[in-house]
Amino acid sequence: MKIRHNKKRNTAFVYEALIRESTVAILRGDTETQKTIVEIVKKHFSISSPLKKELECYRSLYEAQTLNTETHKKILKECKLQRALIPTEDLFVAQTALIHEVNKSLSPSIFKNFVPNYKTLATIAQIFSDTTTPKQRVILENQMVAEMKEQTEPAQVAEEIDNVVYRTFVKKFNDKYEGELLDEQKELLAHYIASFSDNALALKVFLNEEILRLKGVMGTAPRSEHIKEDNSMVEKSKQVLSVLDSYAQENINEKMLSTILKTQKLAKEISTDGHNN
Amino acid sequence: MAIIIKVGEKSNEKKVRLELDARKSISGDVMVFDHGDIDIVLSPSTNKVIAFPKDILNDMVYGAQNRLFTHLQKRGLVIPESIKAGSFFGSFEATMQESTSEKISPAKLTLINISNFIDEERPYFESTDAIISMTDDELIHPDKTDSTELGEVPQNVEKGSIRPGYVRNSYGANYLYTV
Repeated sequence: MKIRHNKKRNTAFVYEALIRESTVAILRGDTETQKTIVEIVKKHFSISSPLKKELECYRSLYEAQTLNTETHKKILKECKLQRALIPTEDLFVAQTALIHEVNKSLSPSIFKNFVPNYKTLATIAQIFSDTTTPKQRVILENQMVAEMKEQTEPAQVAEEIDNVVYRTFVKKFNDKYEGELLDEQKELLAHYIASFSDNALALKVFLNEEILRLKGVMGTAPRSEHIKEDNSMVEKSKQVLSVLDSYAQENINEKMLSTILKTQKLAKEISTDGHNN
Repeated sequence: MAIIIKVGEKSNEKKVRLELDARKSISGDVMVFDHGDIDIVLSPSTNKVIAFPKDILNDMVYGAQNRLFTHLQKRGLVIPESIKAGSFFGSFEATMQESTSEKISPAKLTLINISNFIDEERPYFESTDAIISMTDDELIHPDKTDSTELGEVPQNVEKGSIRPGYVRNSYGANYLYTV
């Protein structure tokens, strides 16, 4: 994919850069620069000028519109057609005249103005370019349609959940995890869910006690009959114990909760098997 | 004028009124959020006092925990040898003393003393908060000596010493040293 392109030959970029410079001039109270920019825009972007025609092709693509994907594709097709109808030589001459006038009447630094949607403008310029390969063109067109769709779709607003949905969710959750979760795991999850209300203090109190209990179980595990016969299991028990010890310096995070949930299951397994034997 | 005469043991009871940002959990623990650096939990069910760092773990937090348990220990409310680090994120805990009299509740006395401790510390952590907020305010709303009016410094493409396009990583100029 082409990375660099001549932004001075990108009509929409130059137009946006001029408008931004004009805004800066108005804020500064620099009426002379403002007048010069307005004159340049009026002269080079008059209705019948090739630059105006090309600018409209760009605008149809990058300005936000509330339309569907099919219409976006049709707009893109029409823009390509309209752009192809503008004589290339006339456009080149008009662009050269504009660049020359900007350099002469204003400053070359106008072209260094930051235009936020410069990437979109560069993509459109490549779609219109004759040198772009068919494969690149199709990829860029898809990208453009996706961008147009993105502009159309408003940010998703979280829907309010009614009681029926909530009860169904709770029932399904309980049905699924009824026999799966241990009591201590349920308690941990309940504290975690409610932790937003009290700076997670109730959860911290619970974890303080629970980690201590788990450390007790894991500390005695290497001495139990089944584990002490297997060196690798003794080693693994010690590793779990060192992980639990490290929580004395660590704040709550999801990885820690997941490890504690697993350790609770492991501790239960160790103690249950011990009882059975 | 009517005279009220109280008779019996309750007539000599002293009323204690505490103002704390506290909450009681489902398990009956009292959680006190007043202190600037630590959250204190009084657990009558396990007979423990636990202090957790509020957000981060640093020397100031450790200092506050140390002072709290020294305060409670000096007043004979916690067992000195029971003061120890907890199992979770910089927590400290201690076991409360057991009362020989049924009339005295160690949990209530501890809560009163926690409140006293917070009142003693309040000027320190409130002044720290004020300094932090003042520093923020200085950055967000600087006064005239530390700021310029909008437009006073004209807009320019290149500004400051860090100019765009210059390679500034650690090995940026290593070609100078190639043989």
